[in-house]
Amino acid sequence: LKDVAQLLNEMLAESIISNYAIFGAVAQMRYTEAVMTMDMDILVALPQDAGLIVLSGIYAFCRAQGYLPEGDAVRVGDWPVQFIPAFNKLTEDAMLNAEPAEIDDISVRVVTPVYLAVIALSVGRAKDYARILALVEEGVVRNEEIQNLAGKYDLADAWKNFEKRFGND
Amino acid sequence: MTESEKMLKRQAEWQRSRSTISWKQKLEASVVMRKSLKGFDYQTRDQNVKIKSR
Repeated sequence: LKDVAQLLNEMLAESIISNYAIFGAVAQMRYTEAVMTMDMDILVALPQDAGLIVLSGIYAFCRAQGYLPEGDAVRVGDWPVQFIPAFNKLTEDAMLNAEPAEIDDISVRVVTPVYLAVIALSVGRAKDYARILALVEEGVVRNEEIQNLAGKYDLADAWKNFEKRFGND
Repeated sequence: MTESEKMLKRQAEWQRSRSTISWKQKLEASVVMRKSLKGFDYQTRDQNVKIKSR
């Protein structure tokens, strides 16, 4: 964990990436009970001159640190780490609005509960709906907050459907 | 309060108690869960594909 946190901050300091935020199940666990996950998902923003093969700089940097590719991730200690360039306005804003947290006294950026919930809503698999329910049940985000943010990203109908299916449980 | 309501309340409290351990501890627990799954056959199809590819 410490290795991942250090790696992220080094990549930022060396301008390999211009921003990042941990999201997905690893971010969720900051707010809920532990869940099973195969990897650690990191949203990244790349410098404008990153070129066409957008992740090549990240992979080269990781390799130089001794962290090798494994499937579609990079193995850092116990964690396969997946670097995912922010792919729409929602994920860009989630990264920009991420909050600081600590892993082994090293500061890292983590997507907030409301953005985690709205990203999950936009993806819409069963495990994403379970993530929304877990976040709401823990009381770290309110339905109204999700509804308001979902509306900004054209997900008002998706939220309505979600509430219809799960709202009374 | 009915018996099933009491049971649900206990379950919710238990869940809440597990979410109060530190983020680091939860991530460590998640690693243990992932490693344990590798020895069994009852993964979901998605997880199974991923595990086999790693």
